[in-house]
Amino acid sequence: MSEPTTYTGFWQESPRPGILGWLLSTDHKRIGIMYLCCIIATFIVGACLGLAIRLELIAPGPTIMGAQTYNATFTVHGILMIFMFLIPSIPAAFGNLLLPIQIGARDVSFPKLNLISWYCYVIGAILAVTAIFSGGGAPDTGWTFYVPFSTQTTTNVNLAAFAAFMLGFSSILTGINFVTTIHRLRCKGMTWGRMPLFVWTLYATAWIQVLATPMIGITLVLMILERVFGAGLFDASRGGDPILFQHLFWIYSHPAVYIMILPGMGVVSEIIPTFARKPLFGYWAMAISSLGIAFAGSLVWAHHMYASGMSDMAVLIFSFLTFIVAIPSAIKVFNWITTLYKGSIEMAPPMLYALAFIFNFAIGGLGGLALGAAASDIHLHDTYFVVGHFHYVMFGGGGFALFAAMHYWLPKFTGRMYNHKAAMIGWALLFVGFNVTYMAMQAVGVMGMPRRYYDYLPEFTDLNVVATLGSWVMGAGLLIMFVNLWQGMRNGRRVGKNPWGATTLEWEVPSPPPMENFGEEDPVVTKGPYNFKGVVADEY
Amino acid sequence: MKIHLFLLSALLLLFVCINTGLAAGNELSVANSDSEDPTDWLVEKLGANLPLDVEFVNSDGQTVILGDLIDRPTLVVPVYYNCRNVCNYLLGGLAKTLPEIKLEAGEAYRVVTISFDESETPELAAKSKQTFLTAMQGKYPAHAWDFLTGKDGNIRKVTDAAGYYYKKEGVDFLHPIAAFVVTGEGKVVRYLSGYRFLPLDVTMALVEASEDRIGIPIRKALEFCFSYDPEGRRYVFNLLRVSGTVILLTLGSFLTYLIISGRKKRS
Repeated sequence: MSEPTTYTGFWQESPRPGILGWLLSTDHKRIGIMYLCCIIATFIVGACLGLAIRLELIAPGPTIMGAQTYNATFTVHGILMIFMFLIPSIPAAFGNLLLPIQIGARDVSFPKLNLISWYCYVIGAILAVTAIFSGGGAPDTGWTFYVPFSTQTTTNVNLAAFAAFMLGFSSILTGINFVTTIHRLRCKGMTWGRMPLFVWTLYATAWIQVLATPMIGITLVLMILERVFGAGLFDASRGGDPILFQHLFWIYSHPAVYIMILPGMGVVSEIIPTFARKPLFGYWAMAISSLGIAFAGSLVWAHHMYASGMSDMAVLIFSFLTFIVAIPSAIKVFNWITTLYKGSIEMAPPMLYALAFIFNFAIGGLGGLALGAAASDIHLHDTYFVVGHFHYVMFGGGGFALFAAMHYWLPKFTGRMYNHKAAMIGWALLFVGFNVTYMAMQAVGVMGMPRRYYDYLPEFTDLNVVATLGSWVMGAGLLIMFVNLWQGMRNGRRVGKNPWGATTLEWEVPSPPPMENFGEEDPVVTKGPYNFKGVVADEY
Repeated sequence: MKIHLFLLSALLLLFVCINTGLAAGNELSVANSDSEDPTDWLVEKLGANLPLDVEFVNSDGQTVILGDLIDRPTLVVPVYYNCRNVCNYLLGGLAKTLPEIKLEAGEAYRVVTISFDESETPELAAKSKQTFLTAMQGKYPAHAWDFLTGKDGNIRKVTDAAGYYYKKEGVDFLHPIAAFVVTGEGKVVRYLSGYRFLPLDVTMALVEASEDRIGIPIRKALEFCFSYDPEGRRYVFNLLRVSGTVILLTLGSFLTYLIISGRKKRS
């Protein structure tokens, strides 16, 4: 360790002291940390709501809440987890922390815009929370805001939709910033072929953010117009079309799924080579497949609507396109596994989370094919199989990738290491609890249990009890993980520049990185991102 | 540079596909709103040709051949001058709308009012013309708006060709409240219903009828932004298509700028 023991990097170096040094900071690392705090807080609230939903479903009939409360609970759980946790989780939090350093830049292209996007996020979050406790009560439409129910319900849908609109704004600004940064601010020698895979996935994600997010903005505005002024856009009796809403909504919300999962894939692509001590297999295939997922993923939205009554031809085309998306996704899974092949594998906590990501994502992805095929989807549509499926992809994929990123990079940004044994116990509980919960949901879905009801038929009881028990194990795992990370970040052993022996640029700057990331000299890159020759891990 | 080209082409393809998707989604919504025509009085015969060789008498008492008047896009308004209610609303509405139309009256288009009451005289037509031109306070050239009367057979030839039917009942007529726009060759291209037309609707219909006479880029742009709603029988601003295109063009130029400008030079 070359730094003095009191070295704290960007945590102390700031033009302004105290809280204003954070709230008015345009430093990408500080903004990243602020995002991280917000999304973790959101996640904890959302997870508690999820646990409450599972508890309600432990037995048929009302147990801890009635129908209306249940509807509001799963709606708020969805809005928090999708718009305020998953979408900004890796791109906004870790993207901000890492993107500039990984391409050798001192900050993003538009630092002030970056801060504005954080404020848009916070305003959106405040509005969303206000919507829960004001007006006609918490929204009860589900996070999809489907018409005609959303235009008729008396709950506080307007405010919730406007909150989602603001959050979308934040997302667009981040996307514009990242695209520009990647094009304009790469350091000398950082060619497109030397960019870390995490940057490639952020690039693909950023384009989805700028392209697709305006759609949800327009859609939600149209819905508010419908509610407030009775515009009739989605009302068949006045010449409108409710299916139009579903198209518009999913034109954004399906690509949004890739906003959530693509950066997670980038995180895994960073972690696997580091802990297998091997260059990533098929660099270009991985880079191009990220763009391929972004591209193909933008064309499959109507596979959420097979049961809506749209034409058979449309069903056929969207089903076909859905199968196309499986190709770049499978390329990624096979390349990760091939990277592991004959590697010198170290089962450190980040690696465990990355491997869990691949496992969960594979199950979720295969379930996705069952839903993408029109014939089976007609049976599985709106059952618990769908709920199990998207939790496998979103939580088992996106969520686990975030946890992997936290275990991998938080030591870099705090300069301290957490307890590995506790991390592994937390991981094991989380992994087991996760699979028990959501596999039980998929099974009960295949049996025919519909989603979005607070009650169910007695024959579904056993599997629901299993799922609820699993959710408690998962909750315990989450608790251990967060407490361990928190303690580690505050009191853990100090680490040097490169505790994992990784190769990308962020491991060549001090932990935590200083303001402006690099000293006097800008870095010059002379090799690819996963060249392990001569790289050794610092002792800690 | 190779990677730039690849990125550019991939994104362009994405733009095109999404735009097509948008358009498709939009057509879906229109197809679902099939219209129910409550009346048989107006049967839309789009594409039908009016007989241009029939004779009428204008408000100056001169005999004219219809083809001499319809030699450019023309708004044909069937009414009868003695009508005590809706015809006057219709003509009064036109008197309000016509000065607001940005096309040059008499040059780019013409308006022809035809009385379907064969008992009406050119004097009555002249009185009517005087009334509505006065209402327009000189904002409209008198030669651009003709008020015709004619023989029953001739009138029927024209109205039947356009699918416009009426019936005498006592001293009054039962008739639809509508006008239609024909091309310079007499082909019916659009019907306008109701007694108050929006300037935009009339302009769009005339633009459509003009084919080559008005600049094509403007016409194309108008047709792209506004699509015809067959149920409401009017032009509607195609919000989705326009906003989708604006988003794609903005992002396309953003990407082009990024690719052309390349990496930022460090000082």
